[in-house]
Amino acid sequence: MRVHNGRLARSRFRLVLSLLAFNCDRLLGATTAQHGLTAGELMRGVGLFAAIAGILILFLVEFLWRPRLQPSTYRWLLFVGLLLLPITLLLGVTTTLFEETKTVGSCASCHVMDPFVNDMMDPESPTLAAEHFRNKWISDHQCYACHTTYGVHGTLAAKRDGFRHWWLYVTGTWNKPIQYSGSYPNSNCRACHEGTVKFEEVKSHQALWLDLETDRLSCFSCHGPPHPGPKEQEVSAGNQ
Amino acid sequence: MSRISSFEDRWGLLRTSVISTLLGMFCILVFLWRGFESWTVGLGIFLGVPLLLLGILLYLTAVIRDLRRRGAL
Repeated sequence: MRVHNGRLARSRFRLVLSLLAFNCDRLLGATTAQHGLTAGELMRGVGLFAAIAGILILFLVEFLWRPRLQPSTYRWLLFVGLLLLPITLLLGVTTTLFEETKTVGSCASCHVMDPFVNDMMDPESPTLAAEHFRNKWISDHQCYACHTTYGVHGTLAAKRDGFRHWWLYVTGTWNKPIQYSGSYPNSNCRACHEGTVKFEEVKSHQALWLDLETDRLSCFSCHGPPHPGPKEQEVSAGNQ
Repeated sequence: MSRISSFEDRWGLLRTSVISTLLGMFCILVFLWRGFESWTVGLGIFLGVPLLLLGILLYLTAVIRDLRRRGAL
C-alpha cells in the first residue's frame, strides 16, 4: 500500500512539473529559446506569480482564515498581500506594458492599423516602411523604432500616443482614413542614418543640413512615401 | 475576530482595500495572461491598475491611522 502511495505521489509530482513546464513554455514564448529571457518576459512571469499569490493570500486571509488567525499573523499576511505583492505586480505589469507596446503585434492589435502593417510586410510595396522591413534595416520593433523621438521623453511620448490611439479605437471615435497627427521629426531618421558613409556622401544632405536639422525640410520631401496614402489604405481595407 | 476588527478595521478600510486589491489583481492577471490586446489593456491597465493603487492607498491609510491611534506616530 505504501509503495502504491509512493508511486501515486511521484506520478502526481511529475504531472505538476510537466504542467508547470508547459505553462512556462507558453508564458515565455518561442522567441525565448532563440534570444534568451528578456526583461519584459521575466517581469511578466514575476507579475503573474505576484497576482496569483496575492489573490490566493488575500482571499484565504480575509474570507476563510480570518477568525482563526492571530492578530500578528493577520497583520503580516495583509502586509504581504496588500503591499509587497501589489508593488511587485505593479513593477511586473509596468515593465510588461512598456515592452509589449514596442512590438509590431501591439500596433496591429487594433484592426484600424491593418493597412499599415500589411503594407509594411508586403514584399512588393514601395513605401519606406516596407523597404526598411524587408531589408531588415530595423531588426525588431519596427513601428516603435521609427515612431518614437529618441530619449526618455520620446519613449514616454510614444506610450502616451499609443494610449491615445487605444482610446480612439475602443471608443470608435477615429476618422477614416487615419492620418498622422503633428509632424514627423527628422531626428527619428537621423538617429540611424546620420554619420553613415551613404548618408554623408549625398551632396544635398550636406547642402540642406541646417534645414534638415531644424525640421524646416522633411526627409519625406525627397524620400517616401513612408506609408500607404488614404487611397491605398481604402484599397487594402476593401481587400480584407 | 473581534480583537482584529476592533483595533484594525474600525473604518472598514481594510476590507475595502482587500476587495479593491483583489479586483485589481484579477484584472491585471487577465492582462498578463492573455497578453496585449485592446480589451485586455482596458481591463488590466485602465481598470486594474487604478483599483490596485486604490487598495494600496487604503491599506496605507488604515496602517497610519492605526499607528496614530496607538501613539506610534
